[in-house]
Amino acid sequence: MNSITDVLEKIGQQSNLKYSTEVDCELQLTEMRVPAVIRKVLIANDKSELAQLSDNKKDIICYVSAPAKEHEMPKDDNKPAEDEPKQGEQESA
Amino acid sequence: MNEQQGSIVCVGVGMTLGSHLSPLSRSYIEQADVVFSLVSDGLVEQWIGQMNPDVRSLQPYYHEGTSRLVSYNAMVAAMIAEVKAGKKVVGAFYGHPGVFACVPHKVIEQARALGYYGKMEPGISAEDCLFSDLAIDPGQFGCSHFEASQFMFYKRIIDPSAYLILWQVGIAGDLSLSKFSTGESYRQVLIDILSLHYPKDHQVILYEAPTLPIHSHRIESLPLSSLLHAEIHGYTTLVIPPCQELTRNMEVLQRLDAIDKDHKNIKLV
Ligand SMILES: C[S@@+](CC[C@H](N)C(=O)[O-])C[C@H]1O[C@@H](n2cnc3c(N)ncnc32)[C@H](O)[C@@H]1O
Repeated sequence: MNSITDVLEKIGQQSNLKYSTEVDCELQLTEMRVPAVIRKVLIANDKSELAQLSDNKKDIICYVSAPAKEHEMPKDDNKPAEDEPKQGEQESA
Repeated sequence: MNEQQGSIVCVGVGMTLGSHLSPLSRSYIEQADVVFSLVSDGLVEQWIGQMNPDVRSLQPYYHEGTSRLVSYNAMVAAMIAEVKAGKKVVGAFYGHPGVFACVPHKVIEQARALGYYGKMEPGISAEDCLFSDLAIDPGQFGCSHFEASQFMFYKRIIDPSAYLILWQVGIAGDLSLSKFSTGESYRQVLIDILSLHYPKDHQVILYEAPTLPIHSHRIESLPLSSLLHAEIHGYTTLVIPPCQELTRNMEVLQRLDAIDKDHKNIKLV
């Protein structure tokens, strides 16, 4: 077992780890040959420590949706858009 | 129209690393010539990165201060360029690629219009996790979903006897589409709109599904008015349970009753 994401993938796929108490989880992770330092962070649920261990310092943006298409957006000056959006044409998905 | 050689398939990787990716979506990622990924966790991004030698993050397209519409168009253009180069392109998006996500819809639409193969493969969305974790059946009282800013910018019909779910509430009210979060003054406007239909002490829920399997979900119940100072992230979804009972539509019920009676009479004859 070499990377944190391999370990996380395994954990994500194993129902027995979902029921686990802390002790069981520790044992399972040891059996998966997870290094002690990662084991500790995983059990403590420490997201920022985990990100550091995996060299992952990026701020992730998760917005992929917009309230309207460009020409349908209400203007910044709060005047209504020239062509008000018709039902079913709005771009929210 | 004959399909040309390039293709685009947008797959959903689900919400939780390791738990939600379907075998088919994984296969699309592994077999692609190039994968573009847009996910909500750095470790999930790394995980996808290990599935194919050419995985490119779409994160660098976001710039605070630049309209997201510009970023979205640039993401679509980057993917289409590879499709046009004849490559098997895969877009790996967190959750369901078609749920509150305009980029996958747009890129597939454009590829098809140009004569290329385009397909969307579903994934487990935040909505799916929310229904499980909050024990909500959208069929019980009905359920409407809105992008939070759209809900504010336009006059919508709100049904307080159904669930109301607001997405992207972390940037609610951002007319410029260029902020990564909006503050209390914007949120106050949202509270004021909601207060026209719900009591100020109505309990609403802030929900966050775990992106890593070692974490648990966040379910925080609070009065509507307390939303102002609540901790809201980009990955928080606002759930507003119904505050009114369903009202019978007597006119329709009477019409249906009359039809039933007619049918009974016909049988008797
Ligand atoms: C652009 S939408 C993308 C939704 C995604 N396609 C899906 O299928 O869930 C972004 C919004 O999804 C919701 N969201 C994203 N991650 C979430 C999470 N971990 N838990 C709850 N809601 C989440 C939030 O409302 C967020 O603002």
